[in-house]
Amino acid sequence: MKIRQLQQQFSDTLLYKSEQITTQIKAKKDFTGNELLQVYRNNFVMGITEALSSTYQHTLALVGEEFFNAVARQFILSNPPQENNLMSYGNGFSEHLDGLEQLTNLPYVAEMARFEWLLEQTTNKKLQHSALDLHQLQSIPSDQLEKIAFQAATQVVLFSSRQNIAHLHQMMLRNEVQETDLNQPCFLALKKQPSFTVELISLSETEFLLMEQIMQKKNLGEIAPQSLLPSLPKLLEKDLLCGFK
Amino acid sequence: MKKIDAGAVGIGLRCPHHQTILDNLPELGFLEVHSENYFTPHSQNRFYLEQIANHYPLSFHGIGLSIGSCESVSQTHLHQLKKIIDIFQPALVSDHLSWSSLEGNFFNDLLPVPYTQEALSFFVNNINQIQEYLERQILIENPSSYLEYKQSEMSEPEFINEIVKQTGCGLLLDLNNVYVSANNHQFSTEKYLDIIDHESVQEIHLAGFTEKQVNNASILIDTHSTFVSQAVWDMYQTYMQTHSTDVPTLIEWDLDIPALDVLIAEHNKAINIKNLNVKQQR
Repeated sequence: MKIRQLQQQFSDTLLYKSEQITTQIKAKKDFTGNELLQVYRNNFVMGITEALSSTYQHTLALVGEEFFNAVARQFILSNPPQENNLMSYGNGFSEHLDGLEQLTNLPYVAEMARFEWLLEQTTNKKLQHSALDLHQLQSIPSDQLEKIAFQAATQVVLFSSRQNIAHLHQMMLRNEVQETDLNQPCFLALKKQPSFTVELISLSETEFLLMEQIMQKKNLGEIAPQSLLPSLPKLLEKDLLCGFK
Repeated sequence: MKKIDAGAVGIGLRCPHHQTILDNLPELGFLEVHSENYFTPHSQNRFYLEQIANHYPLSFHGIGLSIGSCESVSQTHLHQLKKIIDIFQPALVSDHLSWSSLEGNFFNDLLPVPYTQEALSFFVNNINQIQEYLERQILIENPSSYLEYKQSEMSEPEFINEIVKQTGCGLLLDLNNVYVSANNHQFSTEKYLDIIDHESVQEIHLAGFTEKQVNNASILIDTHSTFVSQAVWDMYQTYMQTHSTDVPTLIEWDLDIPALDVLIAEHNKAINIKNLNVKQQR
């Protein structure tokens, strides 16, 4: 058998699609070919589950290890990593959770996963140390202001949810989870700190919408509706903007 | 580039020890990192490595090149590896005698190859391509394996010797892997080591395995989750006595990672064995 076909069959067995490869395995006294292949199947799923558990620690805590491992297994087999680097694996896990019938009444689980993914992405963002020059900003003639496009700090990522994930996250961090109504929206700016922690900055809905459009590189004249613009000082105060053009 | 001293013993650098190592700067011959964990430029891992690299020689050990695949090596992966090599100038760069990806899927494991002429030609092409791109020699590590293919045409050490001969790469001899595979496939570790071309050995790995029971029979799994076994220490001692080599030795521990002191104790044990060998030679 050519090596391409052999590796194709091996891939298929790792993904539980076929057991054809077993005919190529040397017989052993104590183990069938399938039992030996199971060692590799287990290594594949367990190694990647470990990477997911590390990214989605709070999601795991919400659903318990047994459920998490079962769901991770489904996710891994249907979305095997596409890069030889697990540090970048796990995007889309929240959508997978969102599609599970068992979690229909627990929408905060998928939302926590989406939050944790963004949290991890934020820690890998470039830290920008430059601050916005307020004097330069004040010197711009008022008729030129609408042409200005603010720049969001590179270490900032936005997160919004219909569930109050910020509150749930805080409760879990403090190990003080209490019955609470999570059906309240939350709008957050996640900001990486030099210590590699992430500061969660609570925003109002208008501040969030304005920040979102600034991150789309819109200039002030393009911001819609214009009623969002009075929130600008708040974004400057929270140090979410680092410059303008 | 900080050179690794002759006969140095190092440990695998793992995230839980980053800060402790920087705080205490323990006496270690070198540190080996899993290259892929340091690809992301603004990550915390990179932040630590930038500081740690000022104090220790480094070795980059990869699991992602998938050298035994029947496909060319991923150019993206190779590019990322080259980037960190250019930045950190490690003394050694290594990967495995295995494959791990096919048609865009990555299996995060060191999968076995059949030891055939066809597989050999894929290895040789891929290693040549990697060494050319990186503009340096790489080392290839012998794997642990849990199965053998019917179609293999040569033994693993013969296959390795042929790769070394055709590519000029070095061998990273993992004695724990030899022990694990020898137990799983019932071959003699002595015979395996007799065949290996020892001139090509440029690093030795020592790690711990786990014994798993299936159907009242046992299989050894290369978990790197525990102490180096006495059997592997004995192999190491015999190897050092037989070959009087001064290639670097590494203690690997990747799962259930213990306190740094535990790893340093294993590191010191390797040094004692090396020193014992030097005394006996005098």
